[in-house]
Amino acid sequence: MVLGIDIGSLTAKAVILDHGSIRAAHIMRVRPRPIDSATAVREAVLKAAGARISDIRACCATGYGRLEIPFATMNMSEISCHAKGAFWSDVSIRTVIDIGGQDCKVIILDHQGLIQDFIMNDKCAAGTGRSLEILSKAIGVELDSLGPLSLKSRRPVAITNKCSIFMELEVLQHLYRRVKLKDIAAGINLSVAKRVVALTKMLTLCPDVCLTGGVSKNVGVSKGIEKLLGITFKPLRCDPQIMGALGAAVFAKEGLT
Amino acid sequence: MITAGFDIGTRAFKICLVEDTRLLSCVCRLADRNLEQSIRDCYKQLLAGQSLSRRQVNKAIATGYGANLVTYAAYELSEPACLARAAHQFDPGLSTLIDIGALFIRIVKIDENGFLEDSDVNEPCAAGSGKFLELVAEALAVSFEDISTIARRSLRPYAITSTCAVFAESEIISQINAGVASQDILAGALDALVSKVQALLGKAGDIGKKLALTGGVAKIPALREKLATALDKDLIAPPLDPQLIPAYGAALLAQGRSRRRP
Repeated sequence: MVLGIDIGSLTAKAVILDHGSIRAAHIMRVRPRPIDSATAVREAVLKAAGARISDIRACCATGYGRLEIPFATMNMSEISCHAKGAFWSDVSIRTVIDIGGQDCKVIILDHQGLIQDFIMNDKCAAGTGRSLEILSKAIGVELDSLGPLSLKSRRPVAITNKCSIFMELEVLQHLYRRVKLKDIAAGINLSVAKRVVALTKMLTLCPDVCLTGGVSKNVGVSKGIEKLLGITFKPLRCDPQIMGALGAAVFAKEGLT
Repeated sequence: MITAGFDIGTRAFKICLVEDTRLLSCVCRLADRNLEQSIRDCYKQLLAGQSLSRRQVNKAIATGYGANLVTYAAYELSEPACLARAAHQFDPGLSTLIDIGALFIRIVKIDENGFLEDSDVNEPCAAGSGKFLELVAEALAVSFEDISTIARRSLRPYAITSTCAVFAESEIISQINAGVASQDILAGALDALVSKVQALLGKAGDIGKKLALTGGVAKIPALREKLATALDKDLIAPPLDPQLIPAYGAALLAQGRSRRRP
């Protein structure tokens, strides 16, 4: 068995691979220190797999806290791990769009799964999970309900600002004017989709395209991107949020041979 | 003649009642969910405090991000126009005004006759804004009033690497956990604000000799000091609450008279 751990800005993910298939996976909120998150998520995934620490032959860490995990036998960048994980789950994937809590990346792969090109935004919160979190809080809607709620809207509000804090203000103005919540929710999702699409325009996308990361679970954002790009995302056979951890586990396995 | 000036900002709203050029009464409140109603209520209280009825107010002018919420104002005016008018009132020799609000930093250049010459405002990005400073102070559990005292203690300001205000907040939380002192983080946040103002001033061309600092953030003495040092210029403090300047200017403009020296 091998273990992959991805310590993100908001959640920690772990995947256990056993003889080339996913044995267990776990996602949890991060603790203040990466080492605490890593230890907790390892414990949880071991429990889910019914395994012990001694069963793990190798462990690869990724994510922004990857260098602070003493029990990891190796570490890889998030870009490599997301590419690896996505290509491992589906060899037809040529483009990975990953929207995480604090960054957004677009990775282009060749037919062997090697990275051809990538672009990343980790400078501005717009087009990341944090933006969604701030804006859903501003309108008092649970982050998880933002996607389903937005689908009911037929007239999404236009959000013109790019900075999340200015967007918050704009959203509040819509609230003052008593605009329907579903229309604001749809506007919020579209604003994130637009920022992601703006990032993808810097590269040439190749099909099949998949969407990964926590934000991919927001159906409003994913449908928004599909519409704006005129494409359909290839569905993945496992949870899109664990892609980084999965890629790390695949690297751990490859490191053994 | 009695006039009213409304400045509906992104973080707070301010109302001034003015008779000729004299400030009768003023209020400054934080914006809330029922902003429109809150403004109405505050205005009512302000009038009641002066035993005035609404009809005795000859004219009202609104300015600021939410100026359109004041439906009973005669019209809306831009912030730079209001700032320039107020600035000229308290010091006719002022050449440039720096107004730092929650989200907007304005550079207002005033010509020798007290007319608005030129103005500039920051890009709509909250990096290094008043709101950013607030987020930092909140993360450190420091109240607005204490920012100055604490930041002044810093010998080694922490240079915040995140350009985005949202990310800076999480960066700061991890720095607190890593043991960086509050005063160093606060001083670093003030430095970020100063460099944002400097960048804007850099585009403004000749800013003259006499500068004034206004806006809610101007109430932080440590920021005033840092900015004055960075610019190597004196920054005049207005004779009334610096946060009220645009509302006061709006009320003065509502007086509608030609600009006279006080």
